This record gives sequence, structure tokens and C-alpha cells, in this order.
Amino acid sequence: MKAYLHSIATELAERVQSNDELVVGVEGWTADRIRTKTGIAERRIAAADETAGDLCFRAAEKLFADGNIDRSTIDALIVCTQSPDYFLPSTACVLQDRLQLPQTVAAFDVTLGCSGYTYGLWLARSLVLSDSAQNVLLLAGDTYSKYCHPKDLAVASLFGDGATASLITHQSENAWADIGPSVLGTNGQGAANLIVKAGASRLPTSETQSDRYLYMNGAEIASFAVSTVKMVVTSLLEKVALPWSDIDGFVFHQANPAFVQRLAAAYKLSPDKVPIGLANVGNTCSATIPMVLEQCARSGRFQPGQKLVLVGFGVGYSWAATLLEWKKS
Amino acid sequence: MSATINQVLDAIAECLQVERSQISPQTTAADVPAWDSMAVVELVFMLQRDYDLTLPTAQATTLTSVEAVLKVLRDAGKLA
Repeated sequence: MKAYLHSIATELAERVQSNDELVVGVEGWTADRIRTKTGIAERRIAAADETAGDLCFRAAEKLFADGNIDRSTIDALIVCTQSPDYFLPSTACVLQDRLQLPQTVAAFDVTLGCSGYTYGLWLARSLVLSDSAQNVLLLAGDTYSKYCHPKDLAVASLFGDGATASLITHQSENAWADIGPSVLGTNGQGAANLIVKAGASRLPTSETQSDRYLYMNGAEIASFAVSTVKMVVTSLLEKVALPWSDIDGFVFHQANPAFVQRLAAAYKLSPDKVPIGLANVGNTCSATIPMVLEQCARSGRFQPGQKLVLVGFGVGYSWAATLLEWKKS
Repeated sequence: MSATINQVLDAIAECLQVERSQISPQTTAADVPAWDSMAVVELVFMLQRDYDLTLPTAQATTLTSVEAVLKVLRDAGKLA
């Protein structure tokens, strides 16, 4: 038995925030500097009353509207988000009802960020291969902009809001890709380097601004990424007995376009093997990898038989790499 | 690949996007306004790209002087 990535639908928050708008009243920052340092030209920002659950809902409806799947045949729903609608219940339970999925569906949240999509693929594939599910709806979406202090442009310049819906199924017909093995990992020593400290159980409230908003130690995150991505790709390729040179595309988590470009340069990967996107969207956390995959599918970037490695990495620290064999022509 | 001190100073100046004359072995982040957190990210990528060097946890944050960068390379046996 195999598990296939059948298709992906993307949904972005409607409001577009330009760099010019972002830097108003913030000393030491210019729109050009943001563009040069990050590669981001503008970002999508969710409305005050718009949640990651709403974006996931709309992405899933797009997937259904495209005629990809009859919603009554979905038997597992995984929602990957760190921006849940509520502390409880899980967003997946709320979306089971909103999406009118069968009550027989297994629905649950995965609270991972940048590694969430590749964890989700690993989990969905495992459910299919173990015959625990046949059609898994994997929703990945976040609204990190709500966690960013508007004047802290070290983070507010990076993040955008959006979601994707992916169908993982046992049927190969019209599927975009064959999902291969994954290698996963965790290092909680890095937890404090990308964190929203206040608001949950450990620190319900705080007078300190940096506790209430997203804090990021960019240097440590970059250092973690540079060492970990290489390690996990090497580990995955050893597992499937393939050399780096046999991989036709490396789809990295899109922390930001400049970051991905530097990562590719650091590993001496040919730029044509490393898709870079979301310059007009921002870092949508768990949704960046499927968004870029969807763009590649639409543009015909990959050819049937090509091998891709997807790598999610970040907050946690958490990481996962997954092998895909592309099928869509 | 081993580097000379001058090559490292060149690379640091490029990462910081400042004139080479602003960088000496004694330079610290306090001397160069461009040496901010984003510049440290550039240094991290430069160490991997040019010297195949990754840093242990919590060491990236210490890259706030030329001497700190030189020490990383020296400790890894990458400084000629």
C-alpha cells in the first residue's frame, strides 16, 4: 500500500500590508531594508475577527469545490496550527462541524509550527499505510501576525497569515505525489528562542511586553536551521539510500525568501533545485511548504518521477524531512 | 578550507555590508551600527557556506565581535 498527496488548496488572509505601511513610526527601519534583508515585499494579515480556523475552513472548501474529494469520504482530519480558535476544544473538532465532515471522522490538532506540515504528512501517511484511514484532510494554517508586536519589526516584518488544505489518500489516481518516508526530530533546548511566553498555563498574564508577544532570537534560529536542515536531509537520504545529487527539488520551510536563498547557498545547492516563494505573503509557518508546493504544481515546475525533499524546521525546536516522488505532469 | 585573518575580515565586512576599513581584529558590534541581529544571521550563514562550520547551541548569539568569529574558526582548526 502507498499513500499519496492528492492535491493542495491555498487560502490567504485578504489584507495586504506593504513594507511602507509597516515601517511608519518605527525608528531604524525602512521598507528597502526589510526587502533587502528578508526578500519580503508585503504580507497577508488576518482581520481582527479572522482566525487560522477560518482560513483552514476556506482552504478546505476550495479543495472540495475543486471536485477533488467527496467530503463524506474523509475519515481523518488533522489541523496543524499554533493559532487555535480556542484553548479548548481543538480547532479540528470545530472544523469537523463547520466543514460538515462525517461524525465518524477522527479529528485532532497538531500544535507544531514550521515543522508542522512535514509532521502532518508523516502522520497522514502512517494512518493510510496502517489502514487506519483512507482519506486524510490535512489543514495547516496560522495567524502569527496576531502574536507580533506591531513595532517589533524583527518579527512583524516576517510573518503572514494563511492556510492550506491537503488531501492525503490511498488512491493514486490524479495524485500530485507519492509520499515517501520521513525523518523527524526535536530539541526542546531551543524552546526559548521562538516563543510566546504569556497567555497559557505557565504564565497566564504578564506586564512584560516581550512575554506577551512573539520573541525570536534570530541568530540562534538561523544557527539551528543551518546545522539541522543539513543533518535531517542527510539522515533521510541515508534512510532511502539516495545521494543528494539524485534529489530534483528541496522544498524548505519558507522562513523568508532571503533565508531560503542563504540556506541553499550555504549547502551549495543549485538555485533551480530550491523553490523560493511567498515574497508577497510572508512566513505562514506550518503552511509555507504546501503553499510553495501548490505554486510549483500550478506552474509545472516539477516533472513526473522527480524526487523532492520537503524540510520543515523551526519553533520547538522541531524538524521533519519527507521524501516525495512527483507524479503530476 | 583554512582562512587567513584578512580573509575573515573581508567576509565579515561583506556580511555587515560595510567598508573593509571599518573592520579590524579589535572591532566589536558596538563599533559598527550595522552589526545587528540580522548581521549575526549573515555571519552564521557565512560560516557554513565558506567554512562548512555549524555552531553549538547558544553560540550564535556570541558573534558580536571580530574576535568571537575568529575564535570560532580557530577552535574548529579553520584559521591559518
